[in-house]
Amino acid sequence: MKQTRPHASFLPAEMSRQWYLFLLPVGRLLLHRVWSQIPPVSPADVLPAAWIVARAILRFRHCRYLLCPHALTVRQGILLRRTLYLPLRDAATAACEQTPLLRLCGGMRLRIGTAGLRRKTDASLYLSARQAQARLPLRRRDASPAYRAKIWPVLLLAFSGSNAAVGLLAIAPALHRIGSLPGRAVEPALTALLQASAWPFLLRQSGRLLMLGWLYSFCRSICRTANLKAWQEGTHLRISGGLFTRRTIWINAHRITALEIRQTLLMRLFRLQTVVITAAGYGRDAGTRPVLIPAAGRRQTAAALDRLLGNFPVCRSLLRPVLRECPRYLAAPLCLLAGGVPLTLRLPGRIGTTLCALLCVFCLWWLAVRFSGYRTAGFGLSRRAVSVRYCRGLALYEIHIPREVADAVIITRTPRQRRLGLCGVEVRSFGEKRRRYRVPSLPYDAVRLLLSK
Amino acid sequence: MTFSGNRNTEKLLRAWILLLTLPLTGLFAAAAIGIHRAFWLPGLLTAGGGGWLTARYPRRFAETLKGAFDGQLLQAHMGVFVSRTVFITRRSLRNFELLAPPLHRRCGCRTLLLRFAGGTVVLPFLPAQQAGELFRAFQAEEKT
Repeated sequence: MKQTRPHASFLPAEMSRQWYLFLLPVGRLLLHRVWSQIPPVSPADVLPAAWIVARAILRFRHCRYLLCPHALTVRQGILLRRTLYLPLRDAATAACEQTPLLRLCGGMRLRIGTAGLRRKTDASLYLSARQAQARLPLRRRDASPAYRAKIWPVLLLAFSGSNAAVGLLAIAPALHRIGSLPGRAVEPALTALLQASAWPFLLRQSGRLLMLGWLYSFCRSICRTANLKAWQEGTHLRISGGLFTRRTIWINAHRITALEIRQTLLMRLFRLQTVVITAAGYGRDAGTRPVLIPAAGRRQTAAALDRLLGNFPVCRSLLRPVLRECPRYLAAPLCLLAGGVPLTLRLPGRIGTTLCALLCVFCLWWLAVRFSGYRTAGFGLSRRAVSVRYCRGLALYEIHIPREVADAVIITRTPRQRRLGLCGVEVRSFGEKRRRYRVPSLPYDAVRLLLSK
Repeated sequence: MTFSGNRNTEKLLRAWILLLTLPLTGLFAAAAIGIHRAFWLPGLLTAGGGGWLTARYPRRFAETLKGAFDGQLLQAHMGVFVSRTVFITRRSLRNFELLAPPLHRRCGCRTLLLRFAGGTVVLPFLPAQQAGELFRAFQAEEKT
């Protein structure tokens, strides 16, 4: 069979990874209007962009695919040449993506993942939309989806799950690069500004930054989860969705190692749930998360899971933490509240009272999450499944793991727990993100009895 | 088969504690002489703590380190301050490794690393003979 080159959309897709470097000349021009000390043009701004274009062209020239019915071979690399051979029977997941840029160029990105131990997708191919449609059943109109995302739950999910810090982290490289643009020319001006009114300026700017981060995170969450649909196709799950970047993912249902049901406090108030699966070979790349149901009520979730993963084992009877350990669950937010309030009130003026109010709201929210966590926490073991319910951070989790893929159970006992006849249970199983599922304060004898069975 | 800590485990652990605390005490003593006499306090604390640990900890650790493997399930218990009980099925093991650094060999001990898809479990300072038997038992199960 003949080797093929990637589709031409490879070039813009490769260049767009560091898109913000192309904005450097524009940013400099804008800043020149504000601060005339900054030169309007500098060769230093063009060089990174030229390097990105040259690198993309070189990578395009050295990349070849050979897609046989049974295997895929990818040759790529400029200095370090790699040849990857991937038997298609080992492929655990396939994801077809079309960003707006790829759609404009008529291309598609196909990602194939195996249950290996690599940190990224095993193979990324750039095909023309026609080639991709010929090889994959992308358009399917014969069956109604088992799940279809509704807009209000998705908005609520994005509202409650969006995090300013995560958003800021995502846009940090671009901000950093743009921030370094003015260079030494504006340093004196900035220093003078800071000396004149440092506190209000800093607070205003950090408030705006946090808002920007939250807004970015909110938009990203909506873009990912809007219009999401899920089907069952034989042994595979097919998930498709996305507002601007359209993704269609096929996941081998036999490779699903955990089913995670997540609730934030706000979602709990509205009785909504998020269902995420852990599947070998999917979820390693940044921005990919195997969300099966982004937000849905209990009935809709149960109905969709019955259709999508009808045979997935679940354990319903759980061992609960003992009643006298309830204060331990609430200790951390109460301590923060008791320690933080006097400290923040010592700060001068309105800053202290504002920070104190924010801290109180956060602590009360956390307290409510921890109390819900105590009420729902548990560990269960049946013939077919291991189930764990616990709270981590500001969310509640319910995890179901088929017993054959639960690798290890670890019982931990501190001296205090030994005295009280308690223990903590940790379940470990395969996951691309190496997560540990831990429930504290369970009755030790009951856990031992359950495990001995 | 069963396994448990013995005198060799104690010996190795004692050697490790001495190896860590003696240079640290020396460093604090040197700092107390050369920089400031306040460094005597952490030096004395390190020496005292090291001495106490050398005397008490290895024996307690060797007593708590025990476990069994029945061909299907490995059950191991360890830990003095925080005790841990580990349950791993043989089927879930992806690979296993027997470590024998020089100090381990000198004291007749081995450390066994059990790797599965969800992480790694370390069985430290096992007596060499028992670790070897456990390793061979895993290998035998692999062949069957």
